[in-house]
Amino acid sequence: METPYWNPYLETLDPEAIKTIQLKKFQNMVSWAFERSPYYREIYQKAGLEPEDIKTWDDVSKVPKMDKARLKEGQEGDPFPYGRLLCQPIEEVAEFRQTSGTTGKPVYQADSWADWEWWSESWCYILWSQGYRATDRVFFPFGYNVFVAFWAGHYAAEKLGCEVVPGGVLDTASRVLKIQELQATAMMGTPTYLLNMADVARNRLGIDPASLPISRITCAGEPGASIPATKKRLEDAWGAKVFDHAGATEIGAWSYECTEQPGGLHVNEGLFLVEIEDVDTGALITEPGKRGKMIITAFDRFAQPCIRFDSKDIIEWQKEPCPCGRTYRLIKGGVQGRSDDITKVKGVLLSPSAIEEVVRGFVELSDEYEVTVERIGDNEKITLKIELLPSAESNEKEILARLANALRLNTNLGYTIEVHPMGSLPRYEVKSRRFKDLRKIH
Amino acid sequence: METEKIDKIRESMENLSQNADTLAINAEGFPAIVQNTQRLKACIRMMEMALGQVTLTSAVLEPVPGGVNSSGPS
Repeated sequence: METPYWNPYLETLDPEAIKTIQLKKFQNMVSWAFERSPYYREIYQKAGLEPEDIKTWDDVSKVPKMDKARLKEGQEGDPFPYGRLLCQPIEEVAEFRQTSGTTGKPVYQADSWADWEWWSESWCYILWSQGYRATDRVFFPFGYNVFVAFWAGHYAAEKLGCEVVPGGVLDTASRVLKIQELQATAMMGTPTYLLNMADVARNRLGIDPASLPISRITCAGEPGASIPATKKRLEDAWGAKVFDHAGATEIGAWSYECTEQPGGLHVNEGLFLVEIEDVDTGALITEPGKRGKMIITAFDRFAQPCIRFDSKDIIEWQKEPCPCGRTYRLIKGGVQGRSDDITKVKGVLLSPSAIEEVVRGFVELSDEYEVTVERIGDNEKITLKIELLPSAESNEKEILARLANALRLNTNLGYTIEVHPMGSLPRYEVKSRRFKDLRKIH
Repeated sequence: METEKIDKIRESMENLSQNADTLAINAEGFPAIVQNTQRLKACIRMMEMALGQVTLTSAVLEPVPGGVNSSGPS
């Protein structure tokens, strides 16, 4: 019988054995970075840390954390553009990618050829666990460019033996038509873009996306595929199973949802060490039931290592094990938000994901919405912009009343709801920017 | 290049190819090993090409008439 595991050894290993491997790999990464990167060495020496000091699990937290600001600082100087973060001669860098730079200057990511193999290997765990096999024809509707996006998914699908169709520079309508023409069975994209594609198929091409043979979709880039209402929208629209995974340019593809869809993502603990830290106190959270900030280390990625990186992702350990048999731990509900997105409005903590869960649960609304928070005098105002489907326009008043109630129940806040003409809110190709906190600007 | 060096390369490649085949058989049911072995075999095929060898069957390195690994017309 075919195994459901890409790696039947590591994915089912006893948790204590996994921890032993992790500690060894962690020690190895710290030593490597200390010896090879002037920046890591400087940071560690300032903290009074020598690699030999890492002897037990209790020592892990002694290693200084990295964050985006530090990565950018480390990239100042030579060799351009990776600076003092680089751990291998620049001649050994085979792949360049960069972060989106939405918070300023981007971080440049150097990968050796082996690191690039590591990327696709990490994606193999994702795709195999989600049922991708050699019989799949996988369509990639994304711009192949400087952003890592689904590049590694492409090479992983190839390694699995799938037939890979690069949807590169095609526009959205052409991509839908190509899926139809080639009878593609699987694809990958951000939830926002895949909803946009479904909309184009339905309303511009007159094609019901659910009638296309896509049976499996892997999402990334946004938490949507772990938000039940958004997942349902995607699954209904495409008539396909929708799976989530989480990753980042500086980190790698560190988690995946398997075919059991247990309400969470498996952390790939053979390739990564995930720690969860209390946002306020910095204390380590080891048990389920409490959310915190992810601190992550990537093992075996050497040109530009990622060691104890503060990703700002808010996650929580899941209590129940997964029926799939993997011993890799689950994070409940995927990435629940980012610590810099969760903000206080009128003294109440507000997570953009909570708004998405409510809005996407209303079948009368289009897939697009936008939220702005602004300060007016001493008051704070949240405005939710939505589009009503034409079929729902006659019930506008009733729908808006239900929406306002649902928002209040789920987020404990009141909203000014604006209805915008269908098709007028921004459509996004990759990651959306739906939540705008104008208090930080004005 | 000296024939002796080419012969050594060819011998190492033959070993590598045979080991890859054995590995693929032994790792049946372990996709992470089997599929990476497929990639390894694709690399071996590129190496075989580099010596001008027939690459239809990666496990058997046949001398190519006139090729660098040829010891003469067979």
